Amino acid sequence: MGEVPNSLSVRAVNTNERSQEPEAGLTRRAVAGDAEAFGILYDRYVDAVYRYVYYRVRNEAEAEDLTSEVFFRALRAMPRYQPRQPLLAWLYRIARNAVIDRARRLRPQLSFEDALEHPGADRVVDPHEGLDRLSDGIELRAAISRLTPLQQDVIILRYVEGLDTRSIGRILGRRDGTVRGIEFRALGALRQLLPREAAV
Amino acid sequence: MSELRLPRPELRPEFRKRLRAQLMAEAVVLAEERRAHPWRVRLASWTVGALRPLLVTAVLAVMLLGGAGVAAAGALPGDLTYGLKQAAERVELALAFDEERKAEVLAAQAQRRLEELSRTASERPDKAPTASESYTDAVERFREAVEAVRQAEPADKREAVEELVDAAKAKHVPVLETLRERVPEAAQQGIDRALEEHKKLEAGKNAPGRPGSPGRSGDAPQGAEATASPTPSPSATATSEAAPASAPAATQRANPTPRGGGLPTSVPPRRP
Repeated sequence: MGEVPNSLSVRAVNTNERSQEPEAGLTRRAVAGDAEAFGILYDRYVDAVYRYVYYRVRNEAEAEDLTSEVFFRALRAMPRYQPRQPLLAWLYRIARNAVIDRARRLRPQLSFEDALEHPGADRVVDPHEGLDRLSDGIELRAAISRLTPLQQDVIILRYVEGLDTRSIGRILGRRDGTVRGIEFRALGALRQLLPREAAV
Repeated sequence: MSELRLPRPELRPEFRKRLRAQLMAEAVVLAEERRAHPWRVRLASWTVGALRPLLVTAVLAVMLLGGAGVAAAGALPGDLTYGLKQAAERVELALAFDEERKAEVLAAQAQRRLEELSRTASERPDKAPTASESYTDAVERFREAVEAVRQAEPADKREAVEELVDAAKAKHVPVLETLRERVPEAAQQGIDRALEEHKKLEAGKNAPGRPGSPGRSGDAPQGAEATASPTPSPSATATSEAAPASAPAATQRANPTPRGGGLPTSVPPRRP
């Protein structure tokens, strides 16, 4: 495991070079309807949100759609934001809900019989996928998509975003030990799902 | 599996930029809703949801197209589309990335307010007090932005902003003085306040204690007294009228040609 930040707030400061204004002030202004403050927060967190949804959907276009949805939801819900939790944790929650809502919307498109006969038939296949699937981590992404939603969250937040299990627990509303357990089982499942050469 | 490494995909820059602009437009529309109907905020987020994309698109259109063919861009106080024009200007301001750019945007907005005041005085004299108040507010916001740059920004930005101040004074003060004679009394008070704002802008240029100001370094150029004079003398006005011809690029950017060929250099005749 590489560099894992101790807290989300440390990460927040490091990921934005354009504005060093502390998150507390920005969120207070954004809650009051300050568009500029919301814009700075967007600059700060849009990449993290995009990376999260990228691993939860099937392609880049969907990831962009969902990223957009997450920030529009956040903007409208901003007056109800409670600063007890870091903004990024709140955004991840919105993103999780957006992913779940999207999955619900898409589910009826595939009949139960089809799903049984052709597992993965609802997955969009990129014609160039075979060329660069390994180099782009597509095998990994496909394997992650077969984990439970909670396992996916833990793996993405831990191994894409580099968060520690305590921070992940705050985002997911789970205890530290529970997160470690989910992570352990998710890694076990990935070992089974990934081809040997992809499992570094 | 000793260690799992997952690639960190990168967001397309053009998508990032587009989404930001959309969010800023949405933020302005939401703020307008909250300001106008605080008790309806939550309800509006559900019921007006279907209309909001149209509104946001309109705000973006006004913002991006300016006066070119968009009705709202030429709206006057009292028009249905005037609120949209103001919303677009708030988006424009929200997108300004630093204090200097804010000052440029606010200079352009003050110029639009002056154009509106001028048109209102001839077309709708009953709305002139509202227009003069709007103009005064715009100049006040411009002055605050200028002061922020004067206090904090590096010298090159301060110089660019001083050029904006000079250009604004050269364009606005003569028009204001002419308009003052022609508008109703209520509007005259607004114009007087606006002229005061211009004097404060000018006075702030030579304020002691400001970094690089002549008042501190003691190297005030000859004629500074005339420039800082609270009441512009005819000679000062004559000097300043020559300024637009040599206005710098920054000023030109901040003052796009308004509808109808730019700020009126002469005041249109009063309607009978």
